[in-house]
Amino acid sequence: MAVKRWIVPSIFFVFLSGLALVLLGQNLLWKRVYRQPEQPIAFSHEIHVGKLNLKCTTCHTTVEKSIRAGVPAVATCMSCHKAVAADRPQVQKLREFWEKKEPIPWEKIHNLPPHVYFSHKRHIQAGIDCATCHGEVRVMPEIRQVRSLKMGWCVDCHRAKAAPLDCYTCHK
Amino acid sequence: MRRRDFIKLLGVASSASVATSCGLTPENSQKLIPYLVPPDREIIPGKGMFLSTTCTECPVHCGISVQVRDKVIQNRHRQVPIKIEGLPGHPINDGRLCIRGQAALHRLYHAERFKQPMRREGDGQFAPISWEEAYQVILQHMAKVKSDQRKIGYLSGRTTGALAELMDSFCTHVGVEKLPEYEPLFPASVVNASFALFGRKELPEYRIDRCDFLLSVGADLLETFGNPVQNSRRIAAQRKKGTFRWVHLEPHVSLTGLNATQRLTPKPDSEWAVIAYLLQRVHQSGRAKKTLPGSVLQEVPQLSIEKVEELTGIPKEKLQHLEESFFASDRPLTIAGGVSTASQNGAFLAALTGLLQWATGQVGATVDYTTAVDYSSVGSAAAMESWLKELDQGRIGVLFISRCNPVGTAPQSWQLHHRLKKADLVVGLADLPDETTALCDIILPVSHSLESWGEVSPRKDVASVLQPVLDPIYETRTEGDILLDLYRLELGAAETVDYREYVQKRWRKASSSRDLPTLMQQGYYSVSAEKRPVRLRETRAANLLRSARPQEKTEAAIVYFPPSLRFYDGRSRRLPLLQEIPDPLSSVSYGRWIAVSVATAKRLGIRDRDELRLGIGEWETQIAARIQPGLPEGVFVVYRDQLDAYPVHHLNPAGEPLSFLSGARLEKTGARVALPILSGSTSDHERGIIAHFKEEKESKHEPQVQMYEPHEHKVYRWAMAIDLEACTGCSACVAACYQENNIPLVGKEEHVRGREMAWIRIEPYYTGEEAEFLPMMCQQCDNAPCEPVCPVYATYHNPEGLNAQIYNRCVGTRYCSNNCPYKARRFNWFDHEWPEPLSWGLNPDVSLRNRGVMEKCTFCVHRIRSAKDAARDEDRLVLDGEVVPACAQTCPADAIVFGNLLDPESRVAKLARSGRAYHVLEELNTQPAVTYLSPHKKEGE
Amino acid sequence: MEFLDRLILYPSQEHLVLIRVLVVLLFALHFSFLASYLGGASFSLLFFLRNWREENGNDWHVARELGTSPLFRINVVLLLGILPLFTQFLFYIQVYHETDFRVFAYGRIVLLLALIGFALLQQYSSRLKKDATPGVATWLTGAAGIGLLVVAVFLYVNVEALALFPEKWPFVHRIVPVFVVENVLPRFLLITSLSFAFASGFYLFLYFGWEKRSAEQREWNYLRKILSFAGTLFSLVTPLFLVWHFYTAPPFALSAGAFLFGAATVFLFFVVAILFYNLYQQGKGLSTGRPAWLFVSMLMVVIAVGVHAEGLRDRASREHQKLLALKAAEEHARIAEIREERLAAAQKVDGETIFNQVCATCHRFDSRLVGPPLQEVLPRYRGKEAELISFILSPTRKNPDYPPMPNPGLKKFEAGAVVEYLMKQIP
Repeated sequence: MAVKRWIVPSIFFVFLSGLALVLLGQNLLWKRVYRQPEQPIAFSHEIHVGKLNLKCTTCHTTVEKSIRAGVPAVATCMSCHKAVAADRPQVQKLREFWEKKEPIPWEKIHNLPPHVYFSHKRHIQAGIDCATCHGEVRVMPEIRQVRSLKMGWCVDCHRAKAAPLDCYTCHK
Repeated sequence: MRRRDFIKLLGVASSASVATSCGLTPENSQKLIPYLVPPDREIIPGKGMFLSTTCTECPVHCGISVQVRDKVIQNRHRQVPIKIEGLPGHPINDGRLCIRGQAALHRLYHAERFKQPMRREGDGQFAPISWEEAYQVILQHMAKVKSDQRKIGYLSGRTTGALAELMDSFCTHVGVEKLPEYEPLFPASVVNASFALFGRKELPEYRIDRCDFLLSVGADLLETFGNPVQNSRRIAAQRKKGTFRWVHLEPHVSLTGLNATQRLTPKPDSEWAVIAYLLQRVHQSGRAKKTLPGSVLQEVPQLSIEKVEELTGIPKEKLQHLEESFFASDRPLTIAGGVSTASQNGAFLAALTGLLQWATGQVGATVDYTTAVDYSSVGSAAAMESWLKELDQGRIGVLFISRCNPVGTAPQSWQLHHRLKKADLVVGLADLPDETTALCDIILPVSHSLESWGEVSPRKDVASVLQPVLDPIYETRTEGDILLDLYRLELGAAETVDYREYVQKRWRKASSSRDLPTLMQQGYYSVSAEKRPVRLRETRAANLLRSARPQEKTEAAIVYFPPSLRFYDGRSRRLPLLQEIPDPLSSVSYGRWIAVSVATAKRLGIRDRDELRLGIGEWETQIAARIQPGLPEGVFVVYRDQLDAYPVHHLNPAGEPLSFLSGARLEKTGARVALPILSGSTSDHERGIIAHFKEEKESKHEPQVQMYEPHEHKVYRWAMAIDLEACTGCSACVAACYQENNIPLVGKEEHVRGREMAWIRIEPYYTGEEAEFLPMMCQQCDNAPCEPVCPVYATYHNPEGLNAQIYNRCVGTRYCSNNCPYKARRFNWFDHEWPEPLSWGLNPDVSLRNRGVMEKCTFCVHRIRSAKDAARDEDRLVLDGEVVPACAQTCPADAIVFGNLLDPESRVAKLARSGRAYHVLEELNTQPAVTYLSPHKKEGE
Repeated sequence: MEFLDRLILYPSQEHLVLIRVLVVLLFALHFSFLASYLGGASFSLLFFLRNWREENGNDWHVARELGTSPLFRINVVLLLGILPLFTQFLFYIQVYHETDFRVFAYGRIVLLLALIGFALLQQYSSRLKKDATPGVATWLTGAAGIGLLVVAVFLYVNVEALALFPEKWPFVHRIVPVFVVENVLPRFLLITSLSFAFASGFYLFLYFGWEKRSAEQREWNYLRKILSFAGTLFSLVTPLFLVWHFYTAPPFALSAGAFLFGAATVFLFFVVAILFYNLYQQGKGLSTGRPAWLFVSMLMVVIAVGVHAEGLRDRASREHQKLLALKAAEEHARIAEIREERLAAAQKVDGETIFNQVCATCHRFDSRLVGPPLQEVLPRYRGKEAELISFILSPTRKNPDYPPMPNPGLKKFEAGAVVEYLMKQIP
């Protein structure tokens, strides 16, 4: 009788704690898939774009004239940081790279599959705001991906903007 | 609810939706590498940068424009070449390039390249050493040799321009004897004749574009003789005029012969008779523009036409026809060379040809000595034998061998691999291992020309520029720098000028007016060659004729060893791409084979792929059989580059080794060889795949009913027109396509299984003795049979008329290729590897296809895309001729035209409307976007 | 209702935090009301049916009790049913101010449906009060009301789910077709099953915890059994939907914390389930303490779920909220500046100190540092001080040889002072 009283509650317990475990497992999966990689230097767009109002093209020089936006040369960073904020730890990291004559191995956040042809130039010329795909970087202390960048999403936008939908527009 | 929504709902429960709902998976997490300092010449990411330099795959030295891309390699930015194209406006090739030039990157990125200096150890193995050590060893030996009064010899391939100058001063100052340069394909007989007749140790430029009748004797104009790119371009241009006739005499069969309007096959080594006959007829009929002096004329044998017929075996009426058309023209150009002059009577033939050119007043007109190629520094085989004797007597202590492979290409009987041991030290300057470097004591790795500064002179009136398009991949140096280093070390000269400065100083002198950048862009500058008129030197001419009397014996079972289109004299035979592309005549890619005539094959019961034992004298070899239509009975052909050593030893009076051996023994071993023969059949079985041109063009079929909705093309419909009259089957387009589209090299085994990957191929179709060559690629059909059978919509008809293939969508059912009547689709059976540095040459605009994916020609859609991009920037439509696919770009004969069919004024639209236009397998109503222009019927034997 | 967009001011950082708290509280309040309201209505309809099957006044009595409970007073409905819904939308409008997420475009439909639904159910309840033997019409009215409200809830869930996918905002302009994102279905099921669980809890508490009805009478006992059974069932099913909901939530909205919180919630459900089960087990002598506990833990569960949902929404639109805060800050700064300027007019600011603090990091008079030596550039501006000031306030790239000058963030009057100082320095 005493045992009988506990059967059902324990079934409940097993069932629910099972679910809880599933959730925790899911958490690990999520962590693995959606980790923001650690950048070699904690560069803050919030400071450079948000506070200092630098234009995107100041550093990403080729965004208007080529398929790639271009990541600034270490020399470009140093042109200011020789003097500015030279005492900050992050800037000192930068200086180390510069003195070792090593390029900074940034972690690429916005990755497209190798079979995709994407031209920044075209989209800029079509008047698409950078934030449409990259989010509001001026409030991001560390850059992160805020759009899925999946084909469905691209196509949604191409539909809405009446951009070409032929596969060869983007697939190469 | 839309289908996708429904699928979404189904997918909802799957945990995968988390895993895939965001691009950031560890697999494709990449690094983003910045420049350290931005490069000085501004590089626009994703755009190619084009640098002008010169091709050094063969002595023709075409100007090339190399596309360089910025890539991140081992976490560093690096500019590397990905594609080579002809340099427009260059006097040698004007924007076009041959198959070997297109493959040059495979030499640059070759896995077996010498990576640092090496020295042979006691055990015969090579061990790497530093440059300094290498120099030390060399200098020590040089000192020793000098001290005991022996010679230091410097043997090199044909050397011109800055390097030649430097080499001379090096030799004189350092006390090195410069040996006569060694070129296996040196046309000694021809040059010798033009020296005797006109006092020029030169090969004149043959202005096919100026003549109206071309008689070529043995000269393989489209493979290796003179300037093949220029030749085929001029011939094609002439053909477009219509009135042009071209008769080719050859004892065997070659690509050139099969492209001639009429091909005559005289008995081996009897060609001289035809020329002699024409020569005397010219005089008898008083048509000579310049009469020959009696002293010369009496040395020309008097032959009746019957006699000629007997000697050559060419029927009388053909000879008469030849004679008539020869006389009918007022600018008949005669060219002798190739296998015909590299023969016993070759010297005599060459002399007669020179005289005929003179008599018909072509010297100075179509035979141009002002733009000739200077061969004064190149030695004949005879000249080579003389210094080899010195070697035997041990009078040459140190021997440099640079950029040539005498062991592999010189007559076997010379026993070079024994005699080279006579020298204390043999220093090899080379980029790839070959038979000669295997015998060297020291190997100095020479930079590839794409890594080097330099200057060559392809013609005596042209100097062509070499500039590096990438930093040396390995610890290599240019030959110029090596010479300068040795010079410095030997004489302790203080000034340290490197070869770059040396060359540039020269340029500043030469083109003081023009500044260097423009010179670098233009890629060449013209030098003033002396223009003194050519005159006939009677006595010398007479002497030559007397000394080189022809022998009238006819020999049997003759094997010819001509050079091949793909490997030249054998120097390119290690390039994987060239091995992958089949020889256009036999459509055999890998391996070695002997071409057997149809009659002989029938007689001996030989089939393709039978293994034969070929013996001549004591020389013997096992080789596969390939039946070759158009080859005369009793004549066999083996490309000389397929043999490890050149079995011929006999030299003709001009000191040129013969191109053939007689008395061949041939028998089946009974074994079969896995020889990859890529074309399904040598004939089109009257299916009209080759539709010869008829004046009244009757449409073969009724216009058929459309099963599908017709596609509507709004702005563009991309289309191609291929002129079969112009196409020579030279296969340059195939090489260009491979390089442009990252097409993997699958190797012999896969070829034997019929799994080649070429997107464009040359199909030889023989009718009797004649052949037509058909470039076949995806026809981009309007009613494409492949499209409706694709279950995943990976292939479809795009709005611009392309038959699109979306690789990452393809699941590899292969229904499409089963349904393709043109065999234009290729399937990836494996993931192909691109080892470094070969992967550097990949074209980033074209995605790599992985295993299980179907691929095919896309009309170079990436080029279309970039052209449209450019047009969009200027807010206009793409202009006609703005998009040029790789194949069309390189085609020396300008046979391929690409453009927009919807623009009635575009070249392609006009051609598609022309009377010669037809489609392959029209009856299938696939409505291809590729139009072929039917060729005129050849006149045949 | 677009005019609302124009009325909105940028919410400051604190303001946003406040909104978040309020949204959660409102959710708890509104949800518990709606759940009990709908639950009550449906249970009452159920007993209505029973009454028809076997004609005895008791079931009918219960049906009426359920259908006319205090929740059905018109002012309660207005206060707890309609007002919070409306307010929530107002909050959203403020949070999604200046995005292409047109909250209210969807809100209109939801509100409309909700209003009609409430009206019908009020009608139903008043019928129950008035006539002794209501007929089929009454029952149908109730059913219709419930149906409409359920639809409204469903659409509302759509809006909520859409809030998690900023990348879809520009491209989804109508709620219909529904299922704008795969997240909708699990969300909806979660809400519904939770509300049933809550309703059961609520009425158990109301009747047996609060009004102390004895479960002796057959029909009340029956009600107890039904409620506690439904409660047990739904409090076990709801966690399932919660997990599913996690699967379909966009990764950008998730966080490690969210998962842990979810797991905790699941255990809360365990407590609830046990309590329900207990009440189900116990015979007629129903102890009065338990229902109260049940109700409390039930409320906790609801709040937990609310917090969770809000957490996701907040993470998903993190950047945007920061942006709003930023703009708000700028607004305030502008106002503050005007004030300060008025003050500055009174006491003088020293250009030299500002120069040494701010400008001197990049500029020297005699030498190039990051910026050009001032001796070279300043003379250009002699007599054009105004121009120089405006340049300092919003710098533009003047000379390609130098990196562009970042905004030093000076106030107008400070810049003025600096310029004044500079102009003094050069001859």
